[in-house]
Amino acid sequence: MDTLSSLLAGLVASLTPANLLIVFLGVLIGTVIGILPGLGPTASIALLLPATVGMDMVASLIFLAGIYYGAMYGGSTTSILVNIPGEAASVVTCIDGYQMARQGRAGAALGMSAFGSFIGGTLGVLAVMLISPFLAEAALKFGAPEMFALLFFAFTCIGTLVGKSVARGLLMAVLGLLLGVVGTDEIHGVDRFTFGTLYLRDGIGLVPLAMGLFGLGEILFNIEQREATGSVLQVPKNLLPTRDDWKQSFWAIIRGSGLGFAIGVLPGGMPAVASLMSYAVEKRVSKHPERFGQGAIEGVAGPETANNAATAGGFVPLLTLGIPTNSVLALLLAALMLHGVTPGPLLLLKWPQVFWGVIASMYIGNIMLLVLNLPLIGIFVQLLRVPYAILSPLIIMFVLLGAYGLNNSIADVIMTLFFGVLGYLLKRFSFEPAPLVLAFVLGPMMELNLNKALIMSGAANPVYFFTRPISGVLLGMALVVLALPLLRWLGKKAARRKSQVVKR
Amino acid sequence: MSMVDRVVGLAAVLGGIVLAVAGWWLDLGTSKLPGPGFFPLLIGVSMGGLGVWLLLHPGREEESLRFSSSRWSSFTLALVSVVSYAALLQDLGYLISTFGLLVVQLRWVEKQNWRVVLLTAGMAAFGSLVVFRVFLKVPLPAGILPLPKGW
Repeated sequence: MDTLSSLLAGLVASLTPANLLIVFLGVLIGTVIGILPGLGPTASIALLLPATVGMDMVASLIFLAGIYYGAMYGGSTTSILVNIPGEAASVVTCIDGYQMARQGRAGAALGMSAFGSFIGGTLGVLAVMLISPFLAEAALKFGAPEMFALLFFAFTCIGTLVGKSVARGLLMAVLGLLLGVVGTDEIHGVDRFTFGTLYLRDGIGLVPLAMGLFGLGEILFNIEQREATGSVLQVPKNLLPTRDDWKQSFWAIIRGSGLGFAIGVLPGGMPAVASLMSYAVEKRVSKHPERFGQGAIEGVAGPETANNAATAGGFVPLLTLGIPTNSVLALLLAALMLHGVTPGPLLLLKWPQVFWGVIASMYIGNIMLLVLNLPLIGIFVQLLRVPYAILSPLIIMFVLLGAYGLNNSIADVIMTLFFGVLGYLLKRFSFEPAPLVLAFVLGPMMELNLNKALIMSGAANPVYFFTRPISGVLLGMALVVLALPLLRWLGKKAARRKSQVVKR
Repeated sequence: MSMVDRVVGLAAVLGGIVLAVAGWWLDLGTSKLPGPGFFPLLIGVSMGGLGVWLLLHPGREEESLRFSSSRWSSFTLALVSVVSYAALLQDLGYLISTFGLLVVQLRWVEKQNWRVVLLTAGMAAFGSLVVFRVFLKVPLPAGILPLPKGW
C-alpha cells in the first residue's frame, strides 16, 4: 500500500503539464538519436547534460531517462530498415529484423519490436518499483568495508562481462580507475597526475570523456571504416503483428523481460549484453533454430524486449546503491549529483520525489513511446533518408559545441578531442570503452571506501574485509568472477592436452 | 597471435611500473592511514599484472596494428580539421571556424558537391550560432567577425 501511494504521488508529480512535455521531448529526442546512426545515447546524454542544470531536479532526470529508453526503442528502426544498428543494443535486431524487411515484413518486425519493448520496459519498471525499496533498506546497513566490497564486485563484473576478452575488459576498467584519480585528492589535498595544470586539478570531466569516447570516437571510426550497406527504405505498412506473430513471440517476450531485467541489474549488464543473451537463448530453445538469421520474428521480439527490460533494471542499483551499471547510467548519476542528490540507500528517504517521479515517468514514457513509435514511423523513415555523409559533420559540430558549452573553455574541447582519438583507437582495436567509463565513475568511491575501511580496521589488513559477513560474501563473489576465466582457460588447456594424448 | 594484445600488454607493464613508482613518490602512507599514493600503487600493480597476462596469453585473432583502410586519408583529414578547429576557435570565432570545419568535412572528407557543402555548412554554422549564442546565451567566441548588437 505504501509503495502504491508513493507511486501515485510520483505519478502526480510527473503528470504536471511541464513534466509531461519534458518526458515527451526526452523520448522523442531519444527515439531520433536511436534512429540516427553515429550518436548513441551516451554521447547524446553527455551533450545535453549541461542543458539540464537549470531545470528542476525531477524534470532533468526524467528528461535524460526519457532519452535513454527512447534511444533503446529507436535503435531497432534502423536495424530493421537499413541493417545499421542505431545503438549497440540493437545490433542483434539487424540479423532477423532486416531479413524480415527484405521479405516485405518490415511492418510486423517494427510493430513487434515496439510492443516487445513496451512490455519489457513496463515489466522492468514494475520490478524496479517492487525491488528497490527492499534493496535500499538492506543497503542502509552497509559500512565502508561493505561499500568497498560491493564496488569491487561491480568492478570485476564490469571488467569481465563486457567485451570479447577478460584481460582487455579488466585493463580498460583499470585505465578508468587511473583516469578517476587524476586531480586533487579529496582526502589529503595532494595533486595527482595533474602535470602542473590548473585544468586537471578538478579532475577529468565525465562529459568530455563520454562525448569523446562514444561520440567523436564513433564518428572517426565510421569515417575510416564506412562501408556501403543495403537498405529497404520504404514506409512499412501493417504495423500490427498477426496472431501467428504473437504466438511465435509470446514466450520470447516473457523470457526477454526476465532475462533482460536480471542482466540490467548486474554491473556491466548493458542492454546490448541483454539483447545478445536473449537472442542466444531464443535460438537455443527454438524447435526450428535454422529459421534464425532468415527472418524469425522471435529473434526480433526477444532481444528488443530484453534491452528495454535491462534499461529499466539498471535503475535498481543506480537509485538504491548509487552504482551505475553502464555508461549512460553513469551520466545519470552525474546529473543527480549536479543537483545535489546523492544516489544511494538514502535517496528513497531524503528525495522520495526523485525516485518515484522517475519510476512514474518511466511508465508514462513507455506508453508515450508506443503511441509515438507506431504512428510516426513514416516520419522516422524520412529521417533515415538524410545521408550519413551530411549527418556525420553535423554530429561532430554538435559534439565540439557541447564540449565548449560545458564551461566555455577550449580546454574541454581539447579534452574531448583527446578522448575522441582514444575512443577511435579503442574501437579500431576492439577494446570496449564502457568498462573504462564505469570504473572512472566508481574509482573515487572505491578509493574513499577502501581508505575508510582500512582506517576502521586499525591496520592495513585485507583479512578484515572477510571478517564482516556482507563484505566477505561480496569479495568472495568478486574472486569467483575473477577466477572463472582462469578456470575456463585451465579447463581448455586440460582438454587440449587430453586430445593430444588420444591422438598419439 | 594478436599483435595488438602484445603491444598493449607491453605498454601496460611499463605503465604499471611508472604508476607504482609514482604512487611511491606520492606517499603510500602508513598501515593505519593510507596515503595519496596508495590507490595509484594498487592501480599500477593491477595494470602491470594485466599487461603480463596479455603478453603471456594474447588473443588468437591475427590482429594487425597496421591501418589498411582505403579511407585512411579521409580519416586523417577529419582528425586534422577537428584539431585545427580547437586551435582556431578562440581567435577566428565560432562562426568562421565552424563554417570552415563543416566545409572541410563535407567537401573533402564526405565528398559532397559544392552546393550541398555551402548550403549545409552556412545554415548549420549560422543556425547553431543563433540558437546557442542568442537564445541560450552560451558565450560562443565572436572572434574576428563583428556580430550585431545584442548577439
